[in-house]
Amino acid sequence: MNKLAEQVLVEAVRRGLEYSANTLDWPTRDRLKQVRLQALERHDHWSGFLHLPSLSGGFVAAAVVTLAITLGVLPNTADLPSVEKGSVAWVPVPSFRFDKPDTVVDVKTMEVLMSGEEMDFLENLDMYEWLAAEYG
Amino acid sequence: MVETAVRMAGHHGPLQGNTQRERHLAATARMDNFLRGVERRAFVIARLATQDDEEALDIVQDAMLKLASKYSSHPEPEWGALFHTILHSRINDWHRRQKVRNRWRVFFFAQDDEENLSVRPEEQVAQTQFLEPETGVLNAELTENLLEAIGGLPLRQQQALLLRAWEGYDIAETARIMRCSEGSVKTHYSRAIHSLREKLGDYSQ
Repeated sequence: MNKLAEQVLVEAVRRGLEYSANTLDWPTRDRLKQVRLQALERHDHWSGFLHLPSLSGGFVAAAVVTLAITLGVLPNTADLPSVEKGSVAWVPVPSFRFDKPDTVVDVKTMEVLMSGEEMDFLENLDMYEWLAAEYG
Repeated sequence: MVETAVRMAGHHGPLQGNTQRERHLAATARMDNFLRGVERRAFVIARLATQDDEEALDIVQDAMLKLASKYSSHPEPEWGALFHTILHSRINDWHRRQKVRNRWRVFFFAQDDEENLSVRPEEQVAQTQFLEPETGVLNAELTENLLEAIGGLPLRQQQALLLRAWEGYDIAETARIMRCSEGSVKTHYSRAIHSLREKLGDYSQ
């Protein structure tokens, strides 16, 4: 087949297919529209998901700072006075902390805080200590 | 001055949010335009391959969903080739499944198939007619014969023809979409053209 005949045939194919695509019935067009809208919903979902990291950058930074402060406040178990095995209720975190030797927390205080005592009593502890000092 | 900077910094968050939202809306609009542009042609391609409206719609839906959810982050000029790769891959999968089903059907329902074969060819062709009654007779006749001829081509020839002649992809792009060599594309396309020429004869002149 010569080139010209092939071009004519290809042009006829192209025109015929365009014609068939442009004369689709309305129910089919409507179904295609529904299909497209579903795909766009999926696109929205995924695009929104992809944007999450940039939006939550501030939250991540805040979480890191909070974690760092929390770990800094917790005492270093190496600095603690000798404690019997099993009496400490937290997991030791040896490396991620700021060294503050003067902030050693008394293990007994922690035990009191974690024992479920009445919070009113604990809140008024300062006053009881003052009363004891003042009046014996 | 510091106060102005603080005020500007205060506005930075909402402005950034708006920009992201605008960018997101623009991306959705671009995807909508793209899908709107290809949906009918994709349906015609799928229907030619399956000879079934519902199956064709399912295939188009799968292709659109996959493009939108997995490949929308790709550059827009690549969407066309990606979409057609997915579409033709889905069509191939459908044909493979049909082959398996047909084998079982032949095995279990050979008698039913014989009855189906008694359906006249012109009745089967009726599925590929997309024409409204009021459209021009010549166009309708040409399209009817053309679609019948294309629908009757082997799948790979049909795909090579549609991608090259209708979608306008070159040989290399068509080979990538069809996941075969450029030589295979040339062979499929050439055979498709010869076959159509034989079937259509003077209609294409």
